[in-house]
Amino acid sequence: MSENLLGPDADAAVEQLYAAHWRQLVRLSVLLVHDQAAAEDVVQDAFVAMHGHWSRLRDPDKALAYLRQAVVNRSRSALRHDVVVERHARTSAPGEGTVEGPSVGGARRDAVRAALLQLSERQREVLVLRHYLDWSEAQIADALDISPGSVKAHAHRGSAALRALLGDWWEDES
Amino acid sequence: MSDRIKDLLHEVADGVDPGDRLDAIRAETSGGRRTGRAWWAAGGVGLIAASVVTAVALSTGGTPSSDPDPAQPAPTSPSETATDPVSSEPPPEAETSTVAVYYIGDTPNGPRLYREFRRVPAKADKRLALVSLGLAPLDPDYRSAWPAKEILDVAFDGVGADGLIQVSLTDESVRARPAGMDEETARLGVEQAIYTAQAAFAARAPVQFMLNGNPVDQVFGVPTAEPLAAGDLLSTLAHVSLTEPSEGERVDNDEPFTVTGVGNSFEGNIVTRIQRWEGTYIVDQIPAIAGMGEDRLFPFEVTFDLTGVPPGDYVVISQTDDPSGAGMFDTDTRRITIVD
Repeated sequence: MSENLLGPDADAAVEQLYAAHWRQLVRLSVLLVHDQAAAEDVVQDAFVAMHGHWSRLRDPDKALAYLRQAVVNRSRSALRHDVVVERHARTSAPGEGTVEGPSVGGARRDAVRAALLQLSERQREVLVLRHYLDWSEAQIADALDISPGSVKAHAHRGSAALRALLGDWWEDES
Repeated sequence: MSDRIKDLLHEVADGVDPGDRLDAIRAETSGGRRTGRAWWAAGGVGLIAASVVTAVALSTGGTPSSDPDPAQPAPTSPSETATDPVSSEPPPEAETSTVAVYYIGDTPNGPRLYREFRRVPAKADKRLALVSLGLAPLDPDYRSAWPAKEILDVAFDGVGADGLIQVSLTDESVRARPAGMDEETARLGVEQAIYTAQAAFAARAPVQFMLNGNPVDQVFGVPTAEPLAAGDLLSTLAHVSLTEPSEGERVDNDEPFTVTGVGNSFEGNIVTRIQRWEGTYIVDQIPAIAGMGEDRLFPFEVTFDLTGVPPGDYVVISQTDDPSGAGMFDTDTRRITIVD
């Protein structure tokens, strides 16, 4: 199989999927890792890996499913390590995200992110996949390679833990 | 309750304004692997057959002076002009180290692993050795079974042959053998990771492949449920592998030029020659005695006097000996540029 035949296809797929899904995928990863630069690293890597697998994907829907799975897996790994290796490979400067001034919304966002990081890995992933991506329990079970019963249990305990960690932030609807 | 969680998660996510990485992704996905056996397949065979005669005539047997384990890092550091594999700008000398990475190359007996030394940032060396499997080899004669960024981490919980080396994979997709990958390449892909991981820790401990924190049942379709020992050395590794020079190195013709490597050859005999990149003119060739018989590769070293050799592109070729005359010898090559 010639790379010349695969190359343009894979390149075009990256461009299209980037335009359509980059922002949402970074936001997905932000919910799973400690900072935005790490999230962008994770999603960048997922795109590069998707490009490398294009010969087996060859379909935008499959590629998006691959990207989402890769982002979840790589986010988990990024949390476990400080991704020294990947940082060395970066060609773009980190920390391109926006900086906001203080606000109620901003403080609550910080509190939610901090609380998410205190959950177990599985609880955090289940909650994010269930409530941010709106995945079904069956989809989550499949993606995380756990039983549907475990998904239920992690969702239940995770929700309770998040509520307890957030305290007033949970109730405050402002 | 679940609506509240949904609102909070979306509030967090919506507060994020992702930076633009499209150019970075393009940079990482352009180019692709270099392929091809270049000049070698084209017409070097006659030449090599001629040089074998010299090699046989000079063979005397012998014993190597040192005894490096193939799982050990190289005794010598690769050249200062080695291309840095993981950064576009080489870090300062003090912050780098070298790692041994095993790539696939061709021999008359089929594909085998060759060892390539790469410069990496010092503090991350063990992981970078494995990560380098997903990068294009410096030597265009080599290739890797590993796609970019499939290996995440490597850890070792013991010393020497005791304990377990764990190689963590990022992705389910490496379980199956990809379309277009033959079984031999799949087997060697697994061996690439095992040999590279064992070299990183200088330990012959068994290697367990992991996915999501659990042992993974197969990699490239090769069963990996149990910890794996490295495959038989002489049927897995090429029988000659150059350590110095590195691919593309610039060499001053006023200085003695030393070529080092490891090998295992009939009567220990390994001949190294330098010839012009274009054409067939041989500058010089020097035999060395490495070792044979035992299930390992022995070090060899030869030094050339390049005085008067005109500047230009040359190739360094080290090859094992084949007493059968059937041309079944392993070779490793490096392109160099000789300068005044």
